[in-house]
Amino acid sequence: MMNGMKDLLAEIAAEAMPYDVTDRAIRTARRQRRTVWAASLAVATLVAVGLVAALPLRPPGPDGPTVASVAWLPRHLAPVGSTPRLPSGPVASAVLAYTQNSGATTLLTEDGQRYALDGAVRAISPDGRWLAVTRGETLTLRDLNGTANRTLGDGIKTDVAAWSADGRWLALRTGDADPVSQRTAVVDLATGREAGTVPAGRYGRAYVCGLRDTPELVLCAGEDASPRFDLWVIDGTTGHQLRHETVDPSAVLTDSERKADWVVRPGLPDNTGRLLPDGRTLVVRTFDYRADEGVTIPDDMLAADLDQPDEQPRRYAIPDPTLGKAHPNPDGSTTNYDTGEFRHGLAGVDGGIVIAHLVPSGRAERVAGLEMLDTSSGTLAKITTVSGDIRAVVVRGQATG
Amino acid sequence: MDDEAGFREFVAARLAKLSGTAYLLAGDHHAAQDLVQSTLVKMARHWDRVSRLGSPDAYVRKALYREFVSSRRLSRSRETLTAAPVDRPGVRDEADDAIRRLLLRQALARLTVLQRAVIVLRFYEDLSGADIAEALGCSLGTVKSQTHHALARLRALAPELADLVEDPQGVR
Repeated sequence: MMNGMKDLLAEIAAEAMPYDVTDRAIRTARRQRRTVWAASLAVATLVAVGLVAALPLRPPGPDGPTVASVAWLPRHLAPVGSTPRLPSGPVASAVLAYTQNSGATTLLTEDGQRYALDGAVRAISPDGRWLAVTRGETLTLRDLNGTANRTLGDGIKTDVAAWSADGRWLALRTGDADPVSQRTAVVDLATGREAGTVPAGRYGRAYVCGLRDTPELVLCAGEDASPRFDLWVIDGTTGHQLRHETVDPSAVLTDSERKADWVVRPGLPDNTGRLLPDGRTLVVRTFDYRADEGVTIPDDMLAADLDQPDEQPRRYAIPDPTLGKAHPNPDGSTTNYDTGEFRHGLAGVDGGIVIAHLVPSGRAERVAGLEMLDTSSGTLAKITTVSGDIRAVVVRGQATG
Repeated sequence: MDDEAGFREFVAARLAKLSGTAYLLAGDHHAAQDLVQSTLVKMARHWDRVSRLGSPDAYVRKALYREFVSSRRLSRSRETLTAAPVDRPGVRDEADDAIRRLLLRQALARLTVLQRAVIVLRFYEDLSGADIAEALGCSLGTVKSQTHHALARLRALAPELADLVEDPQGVR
């Protein structure tokens, strides 16, 4: 029986193409070796001249700046017993959806009602009106305030890439998970029609980071061997490039971060940049290479201004996950796994980013709280405490995934 | 790196296997390529020492799996944010290999990173429980429990593959 499993796994493995990245790996390894001693020196120098404290904005205490309003989020979230199924008729706008460890998914609406859902919630529009749910490779949009259901994708794997802030426009990506083979379509929800497309591969490995109301797509991609990242603004109706900018965050990075080529990776699955509803602030996550043997961990957030790409991005400190104990490697080096606690951005909303805080729970993680990073003040504040076995939350906003 | 030619020769001989394993773990070509690259970076950095140890294969395996576990923990994608059973693509013929591959790939993607790693190590790499524990840097008990949970989850996610995922009474 298990030979069947082995054969099937071997068949899947055979679908891989040889990823010949040997040259790139050798170049990166050389650069890292140079960085190791330089980093120690740089940190020592920064401490000596008292500059470290000036780099990231640390969240202020309880008397600090106020947090942008996300009053639509509940103060506390916990699973309840049985809930009715989502009716086919109109209901109030959605606030969030959550999935329990059992796999049950529940929708919470503005009037406090909860409804059981079939399928996987991929996104909720910024105004809470539209719910995007996938089953297999079919994406269905449900108008919660009405009765419209729209099925998109024609059997091709389709997912939500971004909403416009006004909720009218929707960017969909279709095709393989690799952006090179993904086609992006901009759909006008007023008519349900595609307003335009960007063919797969036109902008290489660039990901959709946001959609303006105009509608203009914002694509982003990290550069190899550099902390810089590229941004493209694309006319969503014609697919034509309107602007191409390169953002260099070096000024807000430490010396060691500046030399590491993975510091800003907008293309990582959970690190796609997020455009805020103002249409100009793009938030990306940095990665911190903390251990000699290769533990990269989510670090801080950077906010770049699309309208002033030459200005240095702002940097916001996010609490660091705790590293676990060191595991020895055959060559004498060690690897520290993270302990499982982490934070990741859920959605861009007015004034900042809603962040999920996850903590280890059994064999996986559960959501312990929802936080808001206010990009005006730099404040990171807990908005919603979460209890029970909720392992995932989707909040309404300009989702990108 | 003094022996760059030796490193290149070592990688060239194993790149296809390494790529296949990375694809099984990561689930898509882009992430698999990133995984291979970060593993090779580690190898290259320590190649002088690793090649002298005489067991670079064990090192590359350990580097690959540990990189996968730690990197995926930090980049849990939105797939984990929502829950739905694995979609059955209109099964016309239960014996259709393509459909079974698709079902298994979808089900693997729903496992935790550690569960996915133990499944690939156990059933693709054909390693013993002790060797899996060594590769992942965890206890044999953890390997056994993770294997058991992974198989149970695969059975639940893809009942059509039940014949493939009987629990082998613990791992060797």
